[in-house]
Amino acid sequence: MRKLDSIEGLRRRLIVNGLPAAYVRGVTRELEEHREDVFAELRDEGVVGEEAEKRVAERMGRFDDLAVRLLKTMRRSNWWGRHPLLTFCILPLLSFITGFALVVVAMAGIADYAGWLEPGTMPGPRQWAWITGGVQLLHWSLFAGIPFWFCWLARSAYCGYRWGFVTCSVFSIHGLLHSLKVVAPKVGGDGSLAWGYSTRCDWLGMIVPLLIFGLFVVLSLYSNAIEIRQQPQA
Amino acid sequence: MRKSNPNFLNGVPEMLVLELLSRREMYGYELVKCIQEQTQEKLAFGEGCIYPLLHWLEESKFVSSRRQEVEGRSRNYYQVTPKGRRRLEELEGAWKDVVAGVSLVLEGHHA
Repeated sequence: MRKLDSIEGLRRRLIVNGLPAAYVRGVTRELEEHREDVFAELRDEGVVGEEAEKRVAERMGRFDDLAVRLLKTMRRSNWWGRHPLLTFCILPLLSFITGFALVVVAMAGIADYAGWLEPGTMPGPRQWAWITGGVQLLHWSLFAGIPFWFCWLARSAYCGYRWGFVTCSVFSIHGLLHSLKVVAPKVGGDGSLAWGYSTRCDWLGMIVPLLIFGLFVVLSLYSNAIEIRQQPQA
Repeated sequence: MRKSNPNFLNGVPEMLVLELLSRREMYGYELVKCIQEQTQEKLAFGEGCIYPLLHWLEESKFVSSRRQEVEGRSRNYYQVTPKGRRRLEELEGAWKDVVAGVSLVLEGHHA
């Protein structure tokens, strides 16, 4: 990777690594101010020009090291960053299972309230179509929303794109094997909702989380490009 | 069981910064100069590296910061929080244990 030799280079490196723009603005402002103070100190000692530049660079230290320290330090500063495996591998799947289960329970409650669960009052074919559509919409909303949210969490917790990709990959494998089936009742029979895992691969389930990661990266890069083009605040 | 302190030596910069900020609030450059003066320049480090430490302390709620203008210059001043003072006490206690233990070894005594 290219050696960093300026605060501007450091700013770009931090943004590209997914640190929030507001934090990067703050830290680069502090470093600029620190440089100003060191220059002022050297000016008072009669050191100016190239000699001053050289001494300031020596005193500030290597920007490559500073970038690594900033990234590592900020990752360690929050719970999510200190426990990335739990946060970005296990919690997303638990969130999906819990979220889906809670909403199905809520839907059962609504159906009970509407009297659909009483014998002889089962929903008709049209209503089953709505139920099936609603369950699928819920399923795909969670399937897209949860990986996107964890990508955002990875960025907010200073963990960068890597852990967002891990979450989406875990969801992708889960999606490949996951099976959801809603069957409307035939005349005189019962409908069913089946949720589980199957050896029959769901390629769309595999692709959606990876597309979500791609979308998140594109949005982040767009946001980064705007941030990099902006002049650093004085 | 006695608490072990395998990571303690990594907490020395944290302890120094918390101790100095507990005396008065300072901004980054001022803090670096203070460390150099108080340690008689026995501790050397790239001055930019004070900021990852300060930001980590702030995220952990051991210090807080505010923007302040002094003599026409605006700077980010840091000060220790009550949680930071408790953390400082823990670190100072552990440091004294480490110093005592190492001193015993260097002086050739066995516990």
